[in-house]
Amino acid sequence: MSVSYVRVSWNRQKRIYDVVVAVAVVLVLTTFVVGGAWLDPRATAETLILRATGICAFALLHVVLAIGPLARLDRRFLPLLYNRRHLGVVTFLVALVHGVFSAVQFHAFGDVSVLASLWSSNTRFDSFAHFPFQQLGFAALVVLFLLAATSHDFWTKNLTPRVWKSLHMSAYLAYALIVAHVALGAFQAVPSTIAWLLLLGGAMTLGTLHALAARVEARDDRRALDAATDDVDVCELAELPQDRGRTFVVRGERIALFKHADGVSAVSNVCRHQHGPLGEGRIVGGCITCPWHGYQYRPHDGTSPPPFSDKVETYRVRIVDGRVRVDARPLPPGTPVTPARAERGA
Amino acid sequence: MIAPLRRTHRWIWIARVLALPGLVIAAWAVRPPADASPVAAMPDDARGQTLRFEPAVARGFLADDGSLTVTLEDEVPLAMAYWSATHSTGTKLPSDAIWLGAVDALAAARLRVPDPQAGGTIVLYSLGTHAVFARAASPVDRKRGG
Ligand code: FES
Repeated sequence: MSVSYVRVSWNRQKRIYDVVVAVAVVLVLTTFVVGGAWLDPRATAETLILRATGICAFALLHVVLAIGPLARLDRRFLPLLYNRRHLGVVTFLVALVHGVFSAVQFHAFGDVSVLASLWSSNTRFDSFAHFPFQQLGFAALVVLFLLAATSHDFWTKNLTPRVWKSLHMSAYLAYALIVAHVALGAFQAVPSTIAWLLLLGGAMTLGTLHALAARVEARDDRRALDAATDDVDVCELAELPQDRGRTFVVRGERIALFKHADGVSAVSNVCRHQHGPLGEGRIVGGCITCPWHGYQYRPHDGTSPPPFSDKVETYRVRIVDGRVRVDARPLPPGTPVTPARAERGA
Repeated sequence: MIAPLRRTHRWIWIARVLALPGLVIAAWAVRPPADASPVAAMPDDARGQTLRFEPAVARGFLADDGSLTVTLEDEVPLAMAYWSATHSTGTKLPSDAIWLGAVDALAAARLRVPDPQAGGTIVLYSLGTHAVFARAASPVDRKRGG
């Protein structure tokens, strides 16, 4: 088996991605600052930057949150997923500029500290119309900081993928805080119905995308195989595509099956990196390759090729009379299993 | 292995899909609409008092229910209205100032003061010059002060 192993690190694709993101952000900010100055000549430079960075960060967060369901619905979005974390960090940096400019504009010129002013200037937590929207923005910024600071693989390893994933689900909390920050803050002075419809449309679009992606997942779950014995009949051999994965839910666990040059292998569907769906990946250079960021595992033992040592659970597979049968009991991560070849009658 | 995480993720999204559009619509419903002159911008049956800004660079009307309309006599760079329960002097924004909204000379900004019965001051502050440029005591306060 040939092994061409590319770890998640700086590579050409990432550099191109980052350059495109940086250029897009600069273009959007410039457009908003110049357009804002033209529409409202009285606005100061600080205010224009504040508005532009606020809109840009909010739009970026929409993109970040849309990439996951889009990639699930259509594989052509997978390249965006590959480097989503960089987009998340850029979102935080733009939001940080917005936060700093807001703090300076609204809280730096009194006779108390910026933070004291922020937390004491409005304490109407009991009122919806006067709710302290700036504190909502501050809380969202803190969440975005936590996500950006722990976005590196160092933290995925040290926190464990499960904890890391749970922590990073707070991106949804940040989104909700920002929607409330915008709706109860700046938008209170915006009479334009179109702006309000855009705000509502953004929230509804994200909701719809996630609902559609959830439907795809639910469809997989409905195909769940609940056999009484450990030996579970999963599909016809002919149903498995060559060198691409297929996912089956066996006794509540997702198993990824691959038909490759050496036979048929089954591993856990959960990538060790960030829980990406291995069953949606392919065989590249003889290795199962995660569709999200390219972690690789050898099909016959679920282990990353040297020098790496990530391991996923493996499963025993048999092919009997043209049907694929999987032993539902997972083997310890990295356990070698000979790939299954067609055999006659059980 | 990750079934609980996926379930959590699903519930977060269901809650979010239900809550956020409701929040946006509710915020839209309570926003203070912009209008022309301070008095004309108020509903016909609004009861309240005209505000006296010092210096007289703005006109305002504070209704009994806390609705506030303010129009500037002339353009001031990035003028904002704040509510302060205290009486301050000088050009610094009081530390307890609560932001009410932006004001300008083109249209009456329709704002809302947090607690009209408690008394306080409407402070006009310019983000362009970073200075307070006018104040008006709420009518309740004016009466109390004689
Ligand atoms: S490589 Fe990142 S989740 Fe699999």
